[in-house]
This record gives sequence, C-alpha cells and structure tokens, in this order.
Amino acid sequence: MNLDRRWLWLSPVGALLIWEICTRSGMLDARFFPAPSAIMHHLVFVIPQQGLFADIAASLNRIFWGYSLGSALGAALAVAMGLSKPVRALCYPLVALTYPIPKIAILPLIMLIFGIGELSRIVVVGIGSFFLVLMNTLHGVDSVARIYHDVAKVYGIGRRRFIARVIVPGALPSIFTGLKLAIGYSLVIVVAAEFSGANAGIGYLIWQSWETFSIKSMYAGIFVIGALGLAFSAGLEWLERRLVPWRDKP
Amino acid sequence: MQVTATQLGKVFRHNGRETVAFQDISFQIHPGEFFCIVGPSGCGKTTLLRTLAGLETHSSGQLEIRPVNGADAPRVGMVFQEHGLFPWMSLRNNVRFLLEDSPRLAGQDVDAACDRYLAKVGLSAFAHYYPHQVSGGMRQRVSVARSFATEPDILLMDEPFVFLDYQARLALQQQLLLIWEETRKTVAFVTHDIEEAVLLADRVLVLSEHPGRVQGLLDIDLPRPRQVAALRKLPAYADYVERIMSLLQRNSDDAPGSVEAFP
Repeated sequence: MNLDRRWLWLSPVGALLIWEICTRSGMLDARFFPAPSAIMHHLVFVIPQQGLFADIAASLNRIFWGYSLGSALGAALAVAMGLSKPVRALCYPLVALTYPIPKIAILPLIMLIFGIGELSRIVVVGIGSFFLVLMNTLHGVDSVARIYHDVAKVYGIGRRRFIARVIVPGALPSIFTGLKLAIGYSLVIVVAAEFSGANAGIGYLIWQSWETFSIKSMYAGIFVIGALGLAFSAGLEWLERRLVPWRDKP
Repeated sequence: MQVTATQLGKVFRHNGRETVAFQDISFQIHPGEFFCIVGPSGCGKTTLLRTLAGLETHSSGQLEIRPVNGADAPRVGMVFQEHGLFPWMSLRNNVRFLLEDSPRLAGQDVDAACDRYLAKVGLSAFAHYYPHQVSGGMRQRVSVARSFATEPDILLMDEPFVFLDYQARLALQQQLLLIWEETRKTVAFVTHDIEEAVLLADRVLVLSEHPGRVQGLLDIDLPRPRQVAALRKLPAYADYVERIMSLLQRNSDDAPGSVEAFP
C-alpha cells in the first residue's frame, strides 16, 4: 500500500471522534455504546486489575504455537508439493477439498480428537494458518521463473542448495502474503475458539463480559484484538522489508 | 570439447499437434572455436541451443558432446536472453553460487575466482550491489562473468545481448571478445543479428525460417584480436554480412538440408 503516511491516522481517529460525540450528545445509548474515552479509561485503569494480561497471554500463547507450527508445516509441505509431482498428486486433491471448510466449523471435531483443553485451541489456529501458508507458498514455488530452474540445471546445482537458495527465496514474497493473511485469520480463530469452553483469553474476556453485561470490558477486549492485529501486521511488514528487499523489482 | 550433431531434429507435441522446431541439422563445433548460429526468429535456434545444454531432448538424429581429454563428464555453461541472475543474491554471490560446489574448482579459492571474473567485466566496484540496483547491461555482464567463471568445456549463449540498448550491446560484444580471446573457450552463440555473428564468430551456421534447416556454413576469416569499431570498416566484414544476408533471403526450399561450405 502506498498511502501518504501523514493521513493514515485520519479515518480511525475520525470514526472514534464521531462515536465520542454521538455518545456524549445522547444520540447513542451509553449503556450499549459507551464513549471511546470511557472504554480506554476502563482498559487502562480497571481491567488490568481483573486479569487482562493473563487473558492476553493466554491468547498469544495459543496464537504463537498454532501459527508458527501451522505455518512451518504448511510452507514445508507446499515446497514438497511444488517440487515433486507425486507428492502434489497425492496431497493436492485432499488439500483442495478441505481448504474451503471454515476452520472454526471443525472445532467440535478437533475437540473430539484432542480433548476440550488447550491443545484443541492451538490445533484449530494451526490448521487455519497451515492452509493459508500452504496455498500461498505453493503459488510462490510455482511462480519461480523457469529461467532459475534452467540456470540451476545447467550449472549442476544440487537439490538441497537449489531448494534453500533458489526455491525458498523465490517463493518468499508469496510466503509473506500467506503469513500476513494467516496472522489475521489466527486472531479470528483464537477469539472464536475462546468463546466456548475456555477459562482465559481475549475471546473469553469478550464473551464473559457480554454475559455479565460488562459492556466496557467487552469493548476493551475488541480494542485489544484490533491493536494486536495492527501490531502483528506491522511487524510482518517490517520483517518483509528486511527479508525481501527485491520484492516487485526486476 | 567436440560437439557433433548429425541430422538432428526436434518436434514438439502439444495437445496432439506437432510442431517441427528444426530438422536435419548437421554440424560440428571444434574445440576452442567461437561458433555462431544465425537465423530468423522461429528457426528453432534457441531450441537447438537448449538441446545442446541438455534442457531439451532431440527427437531424431544424433548429438555427441565429448570433452577433448575424455576424462570427466562435459560441463556446460549457459547465458540466457534474460540475465537469469537471482534477485536475492548480490552480484558477487550470483557468481559465487555457481562456483561453490563446482567439482572443477575444488581446492581453488572460490572468492578469488569471483573477484577475478567480476574484474574482467569491470564490475569489481559493484560486487555488493543487488541485480535490481544496477543497469540491464551490468546484469548481463555478471551473467557472462559467472558463466566463464565456472570454467565450462563449452559455453552456450542464447542471444545474450538482445534486450540491451545499442550502446550497451556494443560494449558487451567488445568485452566478450576480450574475455574469449584470452580464455579461448569453446562457444556456441545464437543470434538473429548477422553483424553480431560476423563480429564474434570463427564460423557461422545459417539456419532457415521455420522449421529450421541448415542454409549454409561460413568461415569468418577476420583477424584477431578484434576491435568492434575497426572491424566494421573492413571490406571483408561487409562482404560476410552480405553473404549471410543472401543466404537468409534464399527460399528455404531451394536446398533443404544441404550444407554449403564457403572457402
């Protein structure tokens, strides 16, 4: 995205300002739509004493394990599928069939297999990341230009070096596309997975607050999710600029 | 390195349709010679070169590639139309990557070899740049440098200067002449540019339009070392260009498959 950085803050701050005015003027019911300033006050001064950080830590832990393991497995299988026709023929039909299933829809099934504890929530996040990174990496491996295959073949580059120094860097821009999609999707899944049966996590905080009509805590949870999503994608953008300096260059 | 092609032919089959790329092509490339293959686009010259490189298989005839000493397996190098440099490696690492596990360079100082060949193409100062940070001419110079650096038995060049502007092309032709006259590698160089072929080659194989057949084979008896600017003023140079031109203009069904050797 090539937005002028000076105006990036305008639409989010503008939306919050309008919200603030509407609540204070009574156009919005403060019981359902508390003013953003009140939510921020609640977020900073009230719920940290009620275990907010434990909730954040619980969600981050699930995302960390699920996202990193799922992404790593997805990328590895995609490289194998991209370079070996038998592996591709064996795996692709199953991947194509299961890829479109909403991952949260199989949470009950996963709980049946992995129990109702922590493992199931990590697994469901992992499966979501796995498919997104796999599909994008596969596209990336396929799009490594033929000339690089030819150069490697003519000059007798060994298979391991070819994978490590040609295929993986060549697919890296697409791998990053997958990683960025997967981190956002991981947040969606972890919150949904925490709505039921969890006893900690941001999803648990949001759901719990709704059930006890602690509307400000519910909004605070939503704000935290938004902030985490923003931080993750900014971190990945930074990493991408460092690792893929040639992206979109000849 | 001796290359012998006998009645070589290549047919592509795609969706049940057959396309003849070239047929009935016979020639020899002798050790240490600069051999050019000239023809219009669509004559199969790139496919022919890719066949020599082992990137395509021929459909008929025989192809024999034999190292002169007969000891180890022949090793080829190739320069492509597009530079084929890896965008994620510095210019230096683009050279180094091809040398690192080359058996031919075992025991040698790979870093010194990188430096030597980058210096030959005048890019020592740019060794740490990435391909997207330098011009197209510089990228293709690296591509030439790394192919020589692998010390191949035969160097295959597929219209390596076709995408460069006129000035850069002249500079690279001169640079290639310099490196070649110093190293005397066996080279097979494909081009559609008749003047380029006469400038560079010891012998020129002329192919007809689709499907590619041999139209003629010329010895280019011009003195070496060659200077691009000086060479173009020689009457013999214009004469060779004229002869190839007339070979290309002749209808390809005049004498399909026959090889005409000019004295």
